Amino acid sequence: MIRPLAVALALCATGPAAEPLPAPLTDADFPPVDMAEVELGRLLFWDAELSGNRNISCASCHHPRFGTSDGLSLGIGEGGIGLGPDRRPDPDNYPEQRIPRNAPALWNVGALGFTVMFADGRIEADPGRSTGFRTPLEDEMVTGFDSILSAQTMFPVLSQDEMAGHYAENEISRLIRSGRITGPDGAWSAISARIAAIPEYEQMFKDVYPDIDAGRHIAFTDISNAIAAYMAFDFRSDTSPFDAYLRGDVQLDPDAMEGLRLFYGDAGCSTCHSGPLLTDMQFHAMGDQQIGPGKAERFESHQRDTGRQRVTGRPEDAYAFRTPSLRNVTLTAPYGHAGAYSDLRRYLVAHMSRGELPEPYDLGEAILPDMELTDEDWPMDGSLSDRAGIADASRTAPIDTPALQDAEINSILAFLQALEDPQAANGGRMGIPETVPSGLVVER
Amino acid sequence: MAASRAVLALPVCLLAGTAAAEVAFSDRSDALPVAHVYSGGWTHFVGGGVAIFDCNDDRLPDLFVAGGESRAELFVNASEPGGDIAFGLGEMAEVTAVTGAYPVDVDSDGQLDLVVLRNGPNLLWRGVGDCGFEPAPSDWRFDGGDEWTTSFTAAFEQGNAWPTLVFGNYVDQRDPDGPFGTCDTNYIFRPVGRSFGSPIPLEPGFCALSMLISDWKRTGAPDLRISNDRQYYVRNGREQMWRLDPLSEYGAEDGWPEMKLWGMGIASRDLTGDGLPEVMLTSMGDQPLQLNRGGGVMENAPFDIGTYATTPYVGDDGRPSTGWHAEFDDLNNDGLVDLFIAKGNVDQMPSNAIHDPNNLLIQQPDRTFVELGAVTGVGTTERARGAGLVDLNLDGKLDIVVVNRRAPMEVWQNTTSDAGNWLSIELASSGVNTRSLGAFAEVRLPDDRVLTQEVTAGGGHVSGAAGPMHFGLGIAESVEVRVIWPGGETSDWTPVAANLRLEVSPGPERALILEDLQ
Repeated sequence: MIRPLAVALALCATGPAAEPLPAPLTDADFPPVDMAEVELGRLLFWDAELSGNRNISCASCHHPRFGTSDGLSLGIGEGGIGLGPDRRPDPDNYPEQRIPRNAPALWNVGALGFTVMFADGRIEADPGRSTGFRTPLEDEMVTGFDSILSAQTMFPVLSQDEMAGHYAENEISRLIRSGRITGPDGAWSAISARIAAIPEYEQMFKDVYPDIDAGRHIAFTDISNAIAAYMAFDFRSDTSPFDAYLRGDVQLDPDAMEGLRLFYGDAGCSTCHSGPLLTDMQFHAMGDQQIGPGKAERFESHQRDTGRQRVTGRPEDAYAFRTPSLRNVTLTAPYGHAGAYSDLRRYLVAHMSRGELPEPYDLGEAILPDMELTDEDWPMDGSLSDRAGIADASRTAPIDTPALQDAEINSILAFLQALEDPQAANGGRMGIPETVPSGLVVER
Repeated sequence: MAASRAVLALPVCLLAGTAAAEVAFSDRSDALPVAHVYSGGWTHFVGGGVAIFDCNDDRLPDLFVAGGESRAELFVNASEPGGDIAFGLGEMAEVTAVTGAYPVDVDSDGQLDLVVLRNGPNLLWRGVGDCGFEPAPSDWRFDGGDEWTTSFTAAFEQGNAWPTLVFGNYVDQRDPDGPFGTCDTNYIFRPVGRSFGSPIPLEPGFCALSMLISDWKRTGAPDLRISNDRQYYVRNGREQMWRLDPLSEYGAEDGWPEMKLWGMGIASRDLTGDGLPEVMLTSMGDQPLQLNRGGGVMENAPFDIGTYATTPYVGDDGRPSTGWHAEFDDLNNDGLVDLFIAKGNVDQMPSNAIHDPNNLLIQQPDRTFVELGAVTGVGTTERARGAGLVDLNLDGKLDIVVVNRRAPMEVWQNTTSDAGNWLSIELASSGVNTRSLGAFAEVRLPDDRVLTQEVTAGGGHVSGAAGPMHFGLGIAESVEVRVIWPGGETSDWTPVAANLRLEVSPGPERALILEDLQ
């Protein structure tokens, strides 16, 4: 397939956007809030007790100071110390590799319309499955989680490179590496037992969940439900200028308005970045630059990240990634599923070129902690990361991205700025807890 | 010979015609008297083997199946030759914690004995006929140990009246620092007259999930290959090859390359026609096939050969596969050896496909393999472990048995309607080594192509057969057979007609004595 020749767009300062604007977000787009559950989830979110080596909390890589991400292209989970761009390898517990994908921001992940988790959708609502959802455990998945977001929360704790730690380091990583996840002898039970052993948590769980008060053991789904409730509340973000505009409360400034018209018009952005969350929750091969180790298990000898294909096995899903929400995008640098671009404008230019910029990619565009690695972040031998495959997938994807002039890029960036919620820029609704029940350090 | 070479191209073309034979299978799992599941927790994540052998002298292969936490079962073949597969339940002492088993005639009484591998003391059962077994007499001096045994192989070393047995062990569960990096020692049992000497440690052990003694270099001095599971040795381990005499591990100085696999099963068979066995090693992700280039050089097959079977080919899961038992044999009798790989998630490993279909890879005239697991139905997605390719109903077509963890065992009857001609050859010797372990049988087709099979005990994933060798012959109506007997004596080429079930024993002056078993 050949894409239409790029044509310079005539600037169109007036007139309505071609695509209809989404309806504003309302309370109906979010689950009901139980503040006691939110408070419990908040402490768990910030508590490193959930990690195998008690050294990483959810907030280590999803921090409000960095737009609920970590300010890095590819982060370090287990084996990292420090926060955000200061995060570096712990010389006494050196990480085996970088996390292969950019830490996603958490804005509005609790919205009911947020049905696809992770850049590859390995956890998602799926009406085609008897359970109604897909998870990596398929029919081995436990029951008891309240939402797709809660199910998502159950998996970073199982990743040896993210939270669990490596095989010999702790009782949880040993269980995970042995393939023991569910059931009374599995990793989730072991983590739950740690939490239940802390009296303050035990009491809070009893206060929040009546059947735990009645004697039921704390299950990992209770932990994940509470964390999901917290994220849905704290990281709800619907008070940006764009939200106010959608509600008819204010006008956007002319630059942002022009960007909005392009976004919902000739630039074609809203084809995929649609709806109130600015994502269609679908997967598209956009030629996004890949750096880092790729999605490869230890037994594989490549550095590819084939995205959605690795989840579905379908060749037509090669190198397709879920459309990210653009809310607070100005806060969530770096950009792309591998965080290859730290600058939003540079990312946008690369995105519109479908990864086919005239100049070769420069790793200086990324923000990467210094690490001694066995694999290069940007292997010059393209076969390991399959640059040709990425380009082929993008060329055959049924999406057009017109060439944009600098002024149009500026306008779109002005519109994206209008998606920034002052409350989000301020770190969310609740702020950082002073302490957590485990007594472990809270990362500020 | 020179004259026949001139027409080499013609039979190959005809062969291509028969390759269109649409291999077909029908699910006969309900022919088993009970639904048999390989069960248990982490201590039975691996294992789940089946021993395939005739235990009641009716020429019908019977099945001894590991049960893990459940009892092992003996399924006695009650098929009518040429009819549908049928089984009855054999009577047997209750034994649990069985991981797999291999049949071997230890005492050369002509009756196959059974080596029963367990997570716990292994057992050696003496076959007494009519599918009866009794514990090995104490004067055999068999030491069952108390390890977590997950692999086995055997061979008759030159000059010995009894076989050498090798036991491969997995994680040392008694090590408090385990399970990672705590692989147990393997042991080799050498005979002392008509009993076994003290077990000799084969150190270091790297969590052996398959082992096979094979004369892979065709030098007459077989070696011991051990495929090891990196999941538990983690870093300091490798795929191993051991010289048997003197006992020593191959190293870099032997040109043996360091290779690390999540090794779970070995399949060995000549695919290239040079008489040297290729080796398939199951693992996670890529399932490597190594071509035997002679002189001890193994070379990775080109990726497009079609056997790497990296990810599931059906369903909705793109994560890497987990391979276990692998076995080569000709399933449509077109003269081209096919490949079956049992697949399945370890248990709950989110890194790997959860619904992981078994592979039925049919070799094409261009020597690539095409996946027919989906169209035949054989590609089920349970947690398969052990398996076997065997003609259960003596119709000249190989059937498939598959043992599953946490799901019932499967039996697939080969219903290919236009399969090619075939030949079944069982080697028999009197005196020691009644099953001629270590022999090579060769079948020469009219186009001069030679099909070679080695008689081994071991390999696969805790599964093995002692029974006839099956050769698919394509359109050939008659072929020539030659045997290289243990010790190296080579028979003359002997003409035989296709579609026979033959017992072949050494005759005088390089002759073969052929007995038609039908």
